[in-house]
Amino acid sequence: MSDDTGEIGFKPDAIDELLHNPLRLAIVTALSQVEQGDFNWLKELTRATDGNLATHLRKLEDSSYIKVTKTYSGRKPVTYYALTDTGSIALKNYIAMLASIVKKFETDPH
Amino acid sequence: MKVEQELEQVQKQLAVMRDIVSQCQKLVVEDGTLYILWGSLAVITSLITYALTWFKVPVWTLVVLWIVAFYIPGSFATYKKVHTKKKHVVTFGERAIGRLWLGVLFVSVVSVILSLVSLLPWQGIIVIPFSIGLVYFPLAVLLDWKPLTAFGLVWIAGGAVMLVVPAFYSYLVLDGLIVVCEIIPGILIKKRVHKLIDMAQAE
Repeated sequence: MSDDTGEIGFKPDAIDELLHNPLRLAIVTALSQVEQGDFNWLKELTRATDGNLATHLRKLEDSSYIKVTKTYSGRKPVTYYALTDTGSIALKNYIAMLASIVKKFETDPH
Repeated sequence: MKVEQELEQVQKQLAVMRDIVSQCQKLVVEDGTLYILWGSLAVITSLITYALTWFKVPVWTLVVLWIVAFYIPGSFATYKKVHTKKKHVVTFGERAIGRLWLGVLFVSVVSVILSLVSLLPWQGIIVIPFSIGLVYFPLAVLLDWKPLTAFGLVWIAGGAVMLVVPAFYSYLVLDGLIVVCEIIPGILIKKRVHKLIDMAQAE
């Protein structure tokens, strides 16, 4: 159902700005499907550039949506990323918000 | 923001998630190599065991044979494969299946050794087809490959057959099961994985 402003759900205070960005949403969705994944896997999956991906990963890490584990594969350093409980809850809430918007539109398309 | 714009935005976000989830579903849990390796080692060692029984060799010789010809090369090759594999991602399924196979390996080792030294009635060996068959059911879901469920059922049916045939022939039934339900699925999984990789690269 539309409100007075013609909006159906993307109210600024209700939006999780972190997940509203497509690349960050892609990262969090990807990590929700696995136990952990490294930088190259995320890069391949999201088709993002190194710098762009690193920036968004840092933002997600700063907000505790993902956790970072640095380890070695032989002599080569590898950084693994995994979704935290906070990130998982945020993703569920975000999906619920998208679903509610679609539902509202279906019940009252005008 | 207008209703249409909002809906368009939602659809874009959903498309992003759908694309990522679809790509993640292609993650490979197993590539069939270890099925072929363990299956071949089991059949070869079993046939050697049959040949040796004609010479009435002591039981401890057979125990040593299974350890040297089956468990040592199998475990070494598995260890090498797991540790040299280029790991970019760790899936939940991969870990769960790894633990299940470890359980099957432990059950197999114990039952084979106990039955060889006559501490376990020969019927005890049927825990092997039953345990492998049970692992195939969750594996079929994780690999999204339904034929594996059928192979799991054949394992269990074969285990039941092993109970009703004389002890000597039950081991031959087990060898047949390994060829049909482990080596052949291993080859099919390997082919399927190569096909999926080719498709992913083409995309």
